[in-house]
Amino acid sequence: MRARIIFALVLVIAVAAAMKVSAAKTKQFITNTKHDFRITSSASIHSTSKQDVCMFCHTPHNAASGSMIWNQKLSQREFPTYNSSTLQSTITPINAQDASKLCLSCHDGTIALGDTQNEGLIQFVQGTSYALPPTSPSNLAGTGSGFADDHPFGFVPKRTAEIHDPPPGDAVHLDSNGKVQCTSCHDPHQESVDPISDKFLVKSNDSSQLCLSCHSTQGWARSAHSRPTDLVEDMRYTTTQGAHTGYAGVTKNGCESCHRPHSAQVGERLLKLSEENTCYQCHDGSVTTLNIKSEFVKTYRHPVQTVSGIHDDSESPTSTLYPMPEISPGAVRHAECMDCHNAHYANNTPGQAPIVSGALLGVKGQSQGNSYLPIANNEYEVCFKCHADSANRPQATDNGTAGIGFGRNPQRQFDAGNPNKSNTRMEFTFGMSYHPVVKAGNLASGPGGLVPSLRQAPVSPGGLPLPNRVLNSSSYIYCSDCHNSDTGRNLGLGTNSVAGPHASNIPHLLERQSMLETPPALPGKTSTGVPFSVSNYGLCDKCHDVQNSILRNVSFKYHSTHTQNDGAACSTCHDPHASSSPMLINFDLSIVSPNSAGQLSYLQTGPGHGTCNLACHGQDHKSAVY
Amino acid sequence: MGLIANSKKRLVWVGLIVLVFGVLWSWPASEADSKPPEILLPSQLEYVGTLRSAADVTPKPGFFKKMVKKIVGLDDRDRAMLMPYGIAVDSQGRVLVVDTRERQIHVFDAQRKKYKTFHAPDREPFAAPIAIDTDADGKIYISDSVRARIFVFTPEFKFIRTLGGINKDESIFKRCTGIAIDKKNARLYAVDTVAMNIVTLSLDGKVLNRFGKPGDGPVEFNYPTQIAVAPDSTLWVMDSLNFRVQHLDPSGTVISAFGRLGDAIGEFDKPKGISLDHQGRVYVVEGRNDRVQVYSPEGNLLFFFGHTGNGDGEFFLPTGITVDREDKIYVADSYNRRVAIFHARSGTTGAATGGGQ
Repeated sequence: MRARIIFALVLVIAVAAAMKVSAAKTKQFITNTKHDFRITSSASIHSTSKQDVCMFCHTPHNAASGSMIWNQKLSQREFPTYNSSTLQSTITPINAQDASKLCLSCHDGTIALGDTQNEGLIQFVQGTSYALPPTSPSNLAGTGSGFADDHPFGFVPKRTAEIHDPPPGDAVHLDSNGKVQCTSCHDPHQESVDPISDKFLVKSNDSSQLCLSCHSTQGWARSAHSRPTDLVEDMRYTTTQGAHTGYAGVTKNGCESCHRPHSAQVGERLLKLSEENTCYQCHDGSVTTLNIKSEFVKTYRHPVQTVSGIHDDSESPTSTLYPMPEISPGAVRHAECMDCHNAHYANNTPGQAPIVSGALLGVKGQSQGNSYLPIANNEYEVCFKCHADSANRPQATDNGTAGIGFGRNPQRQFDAGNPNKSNTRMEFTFGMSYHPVVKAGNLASGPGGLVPSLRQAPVSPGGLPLPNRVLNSSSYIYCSDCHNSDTGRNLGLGTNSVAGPHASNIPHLLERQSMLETPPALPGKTSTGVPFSVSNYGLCDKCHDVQNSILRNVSFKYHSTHTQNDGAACSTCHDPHASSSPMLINFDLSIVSPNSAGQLSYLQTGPGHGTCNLACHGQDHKSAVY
Repeated sequence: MGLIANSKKRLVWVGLIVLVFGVLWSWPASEADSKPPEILLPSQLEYVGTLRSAADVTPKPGFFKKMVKKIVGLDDRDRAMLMPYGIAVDSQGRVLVVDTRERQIHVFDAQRKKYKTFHAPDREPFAAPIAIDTDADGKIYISDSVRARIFVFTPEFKFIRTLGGINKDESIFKRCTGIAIDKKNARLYAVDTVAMNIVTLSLDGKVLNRFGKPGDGPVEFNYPTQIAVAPDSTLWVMDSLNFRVQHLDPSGTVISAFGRLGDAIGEFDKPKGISLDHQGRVYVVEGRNDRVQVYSPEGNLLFFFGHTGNGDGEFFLPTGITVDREDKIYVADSYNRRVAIFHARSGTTGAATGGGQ
């Protein structure tokens, strides 16, 4: 027994000794690194006299600080530390026990590099009291923001779903108090463990391996940002485009494609650039072939570039600063890239309506029941964040009835006194008839009866079926089946331009034309209408066969009279979202008015039959039966 | 010359007749056959077919046999199952379907073109058989919620014993429902819906562990129902009235959870069966809304299939689900009295285009 214990002890000592030897061996590389200040050092910053590499930082006796027998004078200044609205850990001030305090002697720029405890002020090539200037990338305090634009250090990280301890044996480590220190990521004695970045990193940060020692950002493993599918595109991300690590490609730059652990331009969340500009490093056509930036010059667009500083990642119903849905009607409307895209999750997986496609993965949403979703399942839930119950939703403030041509937001039959008239969530969830965005169609059995004009699949403007889409009584459609780019590959034209509801030159951010009539002087009076052509209603024709069904009067025997002969627009009678009448009937009140008996109504009496009371285009319909 | 022309003409006639016969012969028997099924399926799946009765796997009997059967009243070849629930596919490729209402198991053996049923012996009968799974030796385990026992059969459907009984009346379970077997480690996990916990058993019925209690915290349950074991031996439990799926390690420590109450796509209204495919995707049957929702292991909704109806690819109160080794998906479509079969295409991330990109 005793022999066994002795054997075990010997083994432990042997292993410890071996480890010590190996540690001592690997740390000899300080010579000629940027931390080598000897007169003979090849570093550009060095002393004019000293031969001893250690003494600039360490001393055998009379140390400034007990830990690490520190010879450098200690910094006395305090600087603001990192903070963000989504920070979960508590960032504590750097105190004397933190190893990081020692690094700050030089790296906050307050102490001269040669200002030692025991050797006095050592002369440097750069001058006697040379301290790192605020403009130096090595000066963490920088020009004013202090450490607020640096990854926090000297604190105990809170373990969350996305933060874990470095695995045992990992070069990245917490100190004996469980704190993140400079030394968690940096080894001051070895500059080139990662020879590409050359930042004294404890291990290679190729593809952000170092960051991933603690960060397990959700969605990252399947994101196109960690695994770009197009390697040619990937390799276009170089120093010119903003890569700062020395690595080329988004794969290898990893987190640092968008973030910077030190001297980040946007301190909060350590972003390299503000808002969309981070994304435009690549998505302006310079790295990715698709140019999303150029979309936002179109007339009808999400206010990505025009509004800044409003979005915050903590937006939620419980946030007092950033409530979502918005409670103040006067709040500035914003839409940033990250409102619809989560760069950690996003990839190019196609979606099955109404489920989010890869582009919208991992984004917050608002459900059809108006509850907050940390991660939206369905595309409409992303849209509902702003276009449903938010008090400043865009439609709510657009009440113009005068009509401004084709950009008009019509006041309709059922709008009067309806607080939910512009709440798309209420429309799609509670409408009597509706387009199948939130719920599958009520075509087969509902009061609307069948929709004979429905195509078997949505078609391109040229009439070719879009791949992998089927239309029937149980299919869903996306918001973006109508609201989408007017030039993108969503049109199925074989083009490879940006898809998605970023912007369009067609009013209401539609992907194809759906004309509105220009109102006459008085509703109900003669109107010139819209000169009929199928392409004027290309949007409707995408799913409803205008040529072979609508114009042939299959569902309503006066369709062609109304549209082709008299120039009525689809939208004059139909509300494209939903209606309290069957068949999406909800008259545009700037075109249609009550009849001479003061009645305005549509009554469906059976499939293909109904009664209308209204005046339109100078025609008085009194109990007009069809 | 004339003779040749004549014989040519004759040949044409014969050809025509043959052609007409041929066309008629191959003409579909009914309207239903001639129409390609219009099934709305995500691109990740293809529709395979259904199992309802013996006729789906056995060859058509000869005329004589058919007459005899008709006369003696044994012509039940087309009689559909009554209420399918749990499904298992054994190592021989046989599909075993638990019929809760008929209190028997339907065995569909498409390879050997055989169909049969079996049930528990009269001295130890089924009351409400629910879930089914097989172990590495092919032995069959069937849970019975009312009897609160797990019935064990040989691969030849011979009854061996029940597990869980303390004596004739008492059981270690209050109501055992979902079961799943970790074949690698020979562990049987049984869900006790009323006791709101999971019981780990050895395959001979020894209780090894029991975890979970009522509540909505981690490893707490609110009427858990079904369970699935992943290839890495972790457990996926349908925590039905917490409207979530809990992912647990074999010792019962929670790894993650996903799901929320609601009737939108991706939400849980009356969640039922749960299973996993080769890619680790989690299939959850949403009974109330007649669809199956498929999630990534992290809980992101990937796609869904099914809607209310009795056509191909439609469901009416779907319940149990299982995915076999070939990534064929079997859904117990209870009120349609059938099992619907789909196939998960391998390696596809889906190819649907259109909006939302």
